[in-house]
Amino acid sequence: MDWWRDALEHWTKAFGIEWMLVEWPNSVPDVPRFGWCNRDEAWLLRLDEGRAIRFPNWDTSEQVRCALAWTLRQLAHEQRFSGGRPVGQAYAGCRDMTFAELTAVVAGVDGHGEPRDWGTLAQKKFPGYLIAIEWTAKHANSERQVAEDADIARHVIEAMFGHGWTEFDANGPCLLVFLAQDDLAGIERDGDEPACVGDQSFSKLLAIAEQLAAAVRAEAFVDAKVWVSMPIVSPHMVFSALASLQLTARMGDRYNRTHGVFGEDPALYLLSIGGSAQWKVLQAMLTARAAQPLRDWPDGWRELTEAMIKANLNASEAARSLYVHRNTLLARIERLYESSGFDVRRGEDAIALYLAARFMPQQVAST
Amino acid sequence: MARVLLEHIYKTYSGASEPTVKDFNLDIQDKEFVVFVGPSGCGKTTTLRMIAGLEDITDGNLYIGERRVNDVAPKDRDIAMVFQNYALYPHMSVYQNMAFGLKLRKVPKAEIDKRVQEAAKILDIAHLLDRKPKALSGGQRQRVALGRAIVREPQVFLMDEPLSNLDAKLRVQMRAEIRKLHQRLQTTMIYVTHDQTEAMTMGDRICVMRDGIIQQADTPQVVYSQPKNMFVAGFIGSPAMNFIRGEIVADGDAFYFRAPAISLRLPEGRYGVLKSSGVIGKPVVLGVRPEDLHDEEVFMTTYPDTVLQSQVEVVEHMGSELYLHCSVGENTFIARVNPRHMYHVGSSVKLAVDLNKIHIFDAETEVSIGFAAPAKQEALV
Ligand SMILES: Nc1ncnc2c1ncn2[C@@H]1O[C@H](COP(=O)(O)OP(=O)(O)O)[C@@H](O)[C@H]1O
Ligand SMILES: [Mg+2]
Repeated sequence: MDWWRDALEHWTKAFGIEWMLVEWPNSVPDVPRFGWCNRDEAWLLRLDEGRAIRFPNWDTSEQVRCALAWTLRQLAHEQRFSGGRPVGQAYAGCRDMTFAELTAVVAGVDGHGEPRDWGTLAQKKFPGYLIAIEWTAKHANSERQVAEDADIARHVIEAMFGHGWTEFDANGPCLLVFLAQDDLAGIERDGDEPACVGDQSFSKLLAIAEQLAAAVRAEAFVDAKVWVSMPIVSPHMVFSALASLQLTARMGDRYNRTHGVFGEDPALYLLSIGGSAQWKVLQAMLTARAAQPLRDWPDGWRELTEAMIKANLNASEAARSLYVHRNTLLARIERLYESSGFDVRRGEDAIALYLAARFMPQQVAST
Repeated sequence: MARVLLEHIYKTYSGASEPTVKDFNLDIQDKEFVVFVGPSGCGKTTTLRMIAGLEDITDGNLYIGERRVNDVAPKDRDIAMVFQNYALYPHMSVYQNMAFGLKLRKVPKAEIDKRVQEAAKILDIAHLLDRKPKALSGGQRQRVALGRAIVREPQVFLMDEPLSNLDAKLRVQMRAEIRKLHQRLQTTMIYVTHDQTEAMTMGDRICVMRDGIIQQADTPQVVYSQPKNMFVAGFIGSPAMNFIRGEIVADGDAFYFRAPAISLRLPEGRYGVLKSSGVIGKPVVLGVRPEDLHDEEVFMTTYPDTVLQSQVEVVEHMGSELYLHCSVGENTFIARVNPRHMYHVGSSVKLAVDLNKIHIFDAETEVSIGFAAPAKQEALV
């Protein structure tokens, strides 16, 4: 029995009109699902890729036609959710997008503004966040194994959040979780709250992502990665949020992270926008001062720069973090200065080197 | 109970131009506590993840027990991995936290209870089973976290920097706890850390890694007293070993180490090693640990040939000891001396080198020529 038949019969009886199921005419392109077109003096309502409903002699107002289309669309989404999972599907679509396309969706300039039906997610309490738990199924690719892993992930969610909306996509595999802002406030953390300036909930999200990843790894013995979207104020933003989730995952994957929250690392985002042309120019700029190619820079300049930035350019502290003597570190700084012309004790130089250092792994990975 | 055998293990990440782990060979005995140590990025985690099965092995063989497990799923390898950031579930009691993983695996209730009680006894937390994590001290929480792994009764425990998020005091306490736990459980443990002190204090054997290659795998005593190369020598020990570039010179019947403003007559007992290693007349690096530089009068009168005339550059009081940063000519080094002695920056100081403890490395290959006398059993750190 077709899911749309009951509703359609109900409707057509009320109006006393005829209908018939026909093939969608290939000669008519570009009508979205549940869109109308007028062919051969009759209205056609597109049901799906290949089918349409034809109303041979029904001349009615546009409003009535829209109402019927809306009803069927609602039904279709409900139908799809019971089997097809709208959020997971949309997220799967995000995976196929380029970085630039994802950026456009997150920025809301992509034309995806049209509200969608997100199934039961729409009934959740907003604002909130979408969390993606992703893993690769190594060695055991059986469906049953993947489903078991997902089950363990769901139990971990339950243990942490008490409850939670989840949707599973076996093709990732990926478990999508919705976490309401209100629930976040109620989540206790084991251990002391970190001293945190700014938004408490952000640091909580970071901790949750980290904890979730560790928990799923330990319990399911899979290589779990956990990403958290930007805040979702209303169901209208779900698609943008999914794109933000995918952006976060892309950046995290590039740097071998196990977890990440949208907004955690703005510098990384800036660096991720560039392509190979930008890299070439950056490289030329970096080597302009001392005329030494990058490969002749002393080994470990990246670690050195990162340590200096993390130590607020304090050489003693940086030396401690690298487990070397301060004099050793100073000598390395000198050597780097000689071959690069950048002095990591200077803020501006340090930032330039830092960004360059972080830009590089991505290049290495893509070449 | 299981031996873990790594045979010519290689790991090349997809897209990488060269392997991250290269020809890794290690035979880890049943019940052994092995520590992988090395600087960040040297491939410790990668190696551990290959053992766990979370990472594919590019080449080589991995055995756990009698079984080749290269293609065995992580769950079926009979291992437990302790993750540093897997905190306790705050709403659950200690008992529930420990039972959680078993419940997920649908282990029967009676069996869960038996294992939780046993683990609690081993960890001395039997009296805490009803408490919530909030009511526990930091150390107790860590023990519960270990308990979660113990109840699985794995053949091998894998731990990747499990203590790195703890404060210094708790970290020291937990090192001892984990050692004790290993003794009680008698299970093979593989532990990863970048902290050489942690490695030295915990491992039956430590495996020092650099750039994906094992540099040396031996007991802490041997690694400390007979480092195979300059990397190991410099990495293990704190403050780090002092290195002085110079050369070995024959003068009459004697052999000397000479560097600007330094001339040390080497002990006769080691001439055989010097001759057979072929370093005579060649550039070498002399290595001397900070504690093998002595400022005691007795030492200097006994061994007048070993005295370095130095300048004090920095005086670092560490409480129970004193680090003197000194210079001789263009060389600088650190001496660990008696904290009761008084020193002033800029003053001169005599330091005697304990020549029985020095190391000599080929300056080109950085490999030790085996000059240091074999280790006596001594207390470390
Ligand atoms: N998934 C990965 N893909 C590509 N390179 C990786 C991956 N994981 C780690 N690496 C690289 O392998 C090297 C060793 O990393 P790792 O094993 O984590 O070192 P350690 O644990 O000793 O700090 C590093 O250079 C790291 O960037
Ligand atoms: Mg690591």
